[in-house]
This record gives sequence, C-alpha cells and structure tokens, in this order.
Amino acid sequence: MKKIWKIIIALIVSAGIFFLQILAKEFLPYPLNQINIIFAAMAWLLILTGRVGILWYGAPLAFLIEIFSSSQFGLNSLLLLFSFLLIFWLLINYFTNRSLLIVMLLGLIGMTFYRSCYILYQLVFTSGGDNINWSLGGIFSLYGVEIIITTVALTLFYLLTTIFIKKLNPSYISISKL
Amino acid sequence: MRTNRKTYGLLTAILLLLVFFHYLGWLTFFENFARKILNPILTETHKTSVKAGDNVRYFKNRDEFITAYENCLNEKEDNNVLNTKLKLLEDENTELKTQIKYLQKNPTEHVTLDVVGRDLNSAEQIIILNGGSNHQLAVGQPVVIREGILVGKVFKVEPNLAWVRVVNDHGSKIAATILNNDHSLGIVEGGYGISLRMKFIPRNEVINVSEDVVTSGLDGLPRGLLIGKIAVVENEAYQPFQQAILTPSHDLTKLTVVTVLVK
Repeated sequence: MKKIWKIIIALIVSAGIFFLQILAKEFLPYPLNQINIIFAAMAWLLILTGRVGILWYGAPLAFLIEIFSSSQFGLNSLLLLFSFLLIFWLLINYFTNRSLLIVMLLGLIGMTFYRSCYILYQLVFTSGGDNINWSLGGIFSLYGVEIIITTVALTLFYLLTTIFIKKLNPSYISISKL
Repeated sequence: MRTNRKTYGLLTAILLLLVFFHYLGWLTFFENFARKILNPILTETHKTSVKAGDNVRYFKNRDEFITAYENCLNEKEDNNVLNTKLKLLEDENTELKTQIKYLQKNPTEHVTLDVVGRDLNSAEQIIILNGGSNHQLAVGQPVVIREGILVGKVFKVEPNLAWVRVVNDHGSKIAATILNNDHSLGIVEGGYGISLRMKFIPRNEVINVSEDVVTSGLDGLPRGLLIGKIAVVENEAYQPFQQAILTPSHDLTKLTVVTVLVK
C-alpha cells in the first residue's frame, strides 16, 4: 500500500512539475520563460530533503520530458540525473551548511554542468540540425540566461521554503522555550 | 551513502533501459499513448497563451500610449488609401489567377497542422507540430503560414510529431533575397528569438527600409516565401558587407496553425 501511494505521489509531483514547466514556457515573458522549472524543482527537493530517494518522484517526469524533447531520447534525463549527482556530492562533502549562498552556488554549478554537457554532446555527436550557428557567443548568450534565471528561481524557492518551514514553524517556539 | 549509491545506480540503469527500449521501439505504445493524452492539453495551453498575448499590450507611460494611438490613426488613413489600390489589384489578380490555373501542372503538396507547443527543455525557438513522417513530413521542409510567410524549417521528425526551428532562432540560416532593384542576396539569421538579421549583402547595392525580403531558393527552399521587411540598414565603411535588421511578417510567438510544404 505504501508503495502504491509513493507511485501516486511520484505521478502527481511529475505531472505538477511538467505542467509548471509548460505554463512557464507559454505564459511568462522573456527572459522569465527561460526558467528550467524541472531542474529548479528537483534540485530544490534534493537540497531541502537531503535524500537522493526524492529523485524517484521525478522518474515519470523523465519519460514526459523525453517524449516532447527535440534532442536525442534520454539525453536530458541522464544529464539532469548526473547534475543532481554532482549537486548531492557537493552537498554531502563540501557545502554542508545549506545557506542561501550555498544553494545559489549549487544551483549555478549544477545548471552549468548540465548545460555544458548538453552543448558538448550537441557539438561532438550531432550536427545539431541542418545549419545551426554554434558560435560560442551565441551559445553563452542563449544558455547563460537560462543558467542565471534558473539559479535565481532555485534560490527563491529555497528562501521561501526556509521562511515558511523554519522561521514560521511553531514547533521552533516550543523547542526554544524548553 | 551506500543507499544513495544504490539509488543512483538504479535510476541510471532505469534511464538507460528506457533509452534502450525506446530505440528498440518497445516504448512506442506508451509514447503514443502519453502523447495522445497530452497533445490536446498542450495545444489548448498554447492557444490560450497566444490569446492572452493578443489581449495584452503594455505602455510605459501616457506619452507612449498617445504616440501609439496617433500611429494607429495614421496607419488607418494609410490603410484607406491602400484599400483603394488593393481593390484595383484584386481585379487584376483574379484575372491572373485564372491564367495561372492553366499553368500550374504540378501543384505544391502541403499539410496543415496544429502547433502543439514549444520545446519544453530547450532555450531555442523550436515549436512542435502534431504531425510527422506519417503525414509525409521530412527534415528540411519549409513551414509557412497564411499566403506563404515562412515560419521555419522542419529539423526533426517522428511518426506523429515534428519539431520546427523557427526563423528567429539563433541557429536558423535562410538564403534570402531583397525585392529591390538589385535583387540583393544575403543570409537571414535569427537573433535568439528576438530579431531577424540579414547578413552578407554586397555593400554597393542600394537597400531601403520597408522593402520585402523573401527566400532566394538557393538553399533548397522554394523561392519567394516572405520572411519579413527591412527595418534598419547597417552599412559601415569598415565592414566588407552591409546588413539589415528585419521585422518578421508575422508574430512568430503566436503560431497556432501552420502549413508544411511537403513537396
């Protein structure tokens, strides 16, 4: 029964993130429509809980991403997974205090890693379409905006969560009184 | 830490299996099923966003609003003059069409498709169409709207979906010609989804603002598909070529139905 609930929650979380990504892409003006909600939401859950197991909730999301992706099947999901691995490794071994600055840095590193690998793959393994302009300046202008705006979104998510979970959590009052 | 490694290993293995099964074609049923459910939702969301975009216009201040209103009135007057000319041209056109019908032995085959949405996990200007190789679509085919306004080119095709790189994407390059006296040739490139720029125009040729830019047919696309109008001309003494900024003939963020020229 517990497993069935977990699967249902995973489906709801995935569908929620997927539709948030669609809404962001369709309704927000540039540059806000460049927010990678999928990365920001999953990284936020990972940093907040500190458990790798949380990534299971994103498993159905991987399938949804891939069926509507213009790049090779599986590329985005695998790169996202590897960037979350990097974030988690840094979180466990180096950046252990989880301040806002650390979250921002983790987001920046994770997102840069994700997009760098993506660009590298496109450059090495595909012709990237029939006549793509892969100038370095162009790539940085395009993905730089996405990296910055996603990092800011992740930091804001984390800030809001810490305010509501830590600062406005009544259990802290009773603990401090003890 | 061990559990974490196990989880990561399992997740990676599952993803790799998914990729493997996808290329074997074992996931086709699930992919088609998910697309069948999600396509209408994505299409409706896209249409709603286009409608919402149509009804909203922001003005920074009162002066900007008044200027826009005055421009609107001026354009209305111009349109009245143009309508009169149009009436004359319409009669002429009807006559020409009758003649062309006899000359058109091989009509261009086309497929009209809905825009499902934009590519979700990419920062590029890519739209998804609800038709693919089952509808005779192939890579490199031009995508147009209305009476032949070029929107982009198909660059990835699956049986029931196709991805189109819009002309204002940074990676788009289209061989084009200006409808001026010299019929100047050049290449139209996208500018990160914001602008269109025509490059490599010979410096000695005279180009003017408001002149139309169409496909030249040198890169395999049909000749004469409208791309946009010249908005700004940049002719610097130290540059070997001149270039021009173009205004697209249609708002490329508000595409709902497009036509793919399949032959």
